[in-house]
Amino acid sequence: MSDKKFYTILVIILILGVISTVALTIYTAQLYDKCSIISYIANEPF
Amino acid sequence: MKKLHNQLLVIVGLIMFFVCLNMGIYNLFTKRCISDYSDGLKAKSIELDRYLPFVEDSELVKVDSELMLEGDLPVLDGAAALYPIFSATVHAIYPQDCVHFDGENFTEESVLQYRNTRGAYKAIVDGDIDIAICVKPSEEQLAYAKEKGVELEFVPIGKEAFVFIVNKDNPVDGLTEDEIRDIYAGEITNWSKVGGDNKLISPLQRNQGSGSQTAMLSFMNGREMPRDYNSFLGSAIGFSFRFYVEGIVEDGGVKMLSVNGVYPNVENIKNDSYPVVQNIYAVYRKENTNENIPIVIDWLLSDEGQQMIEDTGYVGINVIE
Repeated sequence: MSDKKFYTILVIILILGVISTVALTIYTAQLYDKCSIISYIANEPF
Repeated sequence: MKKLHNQLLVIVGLIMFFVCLNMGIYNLFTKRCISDYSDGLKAKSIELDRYLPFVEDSELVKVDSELMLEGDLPVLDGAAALYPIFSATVHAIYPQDCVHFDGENFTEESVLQYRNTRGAYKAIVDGDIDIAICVKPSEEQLAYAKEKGVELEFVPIGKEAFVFIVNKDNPVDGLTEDEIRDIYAGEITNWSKVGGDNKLISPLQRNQGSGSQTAMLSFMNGREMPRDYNSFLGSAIGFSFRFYVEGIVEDGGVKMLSVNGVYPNVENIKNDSYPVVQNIYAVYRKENTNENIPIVIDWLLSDEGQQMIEDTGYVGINVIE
């Protein structure tokens, strides 16, 4: 594909990726404020 | 062709980077914060409508008392975890038409209110309620009362163990009081120092002014308790009151720690061998002349009231005859 098309696709993926990461981070921060301490410990991944 | 191949690799690589990043964030952090709706945790969540007074299928402890209040009914409120106590009190000795619930919370004219510890302490000082069922107030809550010129009276009506909890897979079963203080002061940072695995300790705290945060500050005996944001990948330790935790330790994914070798069960709370016990208080304003306040408190201290407190899941302050 042309370079212009390639970079356009990269930029779109980058924008969507950053938006999704930021949205997930904000959602997680909101959940953290309200989450039960017991749930938080019980759901420990390690 | 080679150029297209490389371009596709870069595109797929970038997509995979964000997919992995977001999955990592979800699995390490988001999933932990999502409330676990297992039966165990559900059973102990304080939902107002499960413990409503005067409702046939309510889960609160129902006492058939001969005492029935009349006249100026004291408005009750208190800590979230203690709601089953003050709701059961209303059910036992208040007339039936005094509680008004709109499906989500109690209305202004209801004699039973639910604001949790912070709200209840503010409300008792401001004169919006008559009796708050809570644990010890924070320094800020006492300062607010002093600022408003209000003197509060504290009558102990029960006891509750302040417990420390870890994930059930954590090999550590107990800590000393000093070890817990050192962990929360940031001086012990790895579980291996206290007999556990080689993992960072993530000491969790609650919101300022909440009953358990105030209890923890009291436990720390003046030592600083900095909030630790660096060990979020570690294995957590938290604190709560036994009422919330005990019913879910088996299938809730957490366990309570022994403190100084003593496990926080009812027997060890009653015989004072468990070292971290908080009093449950009936709190009222000294200048409040409502004649029903001493009647409510006397009832809470009577055999009926103390039995209700024990049947609810706490420990009474008096020996029941």
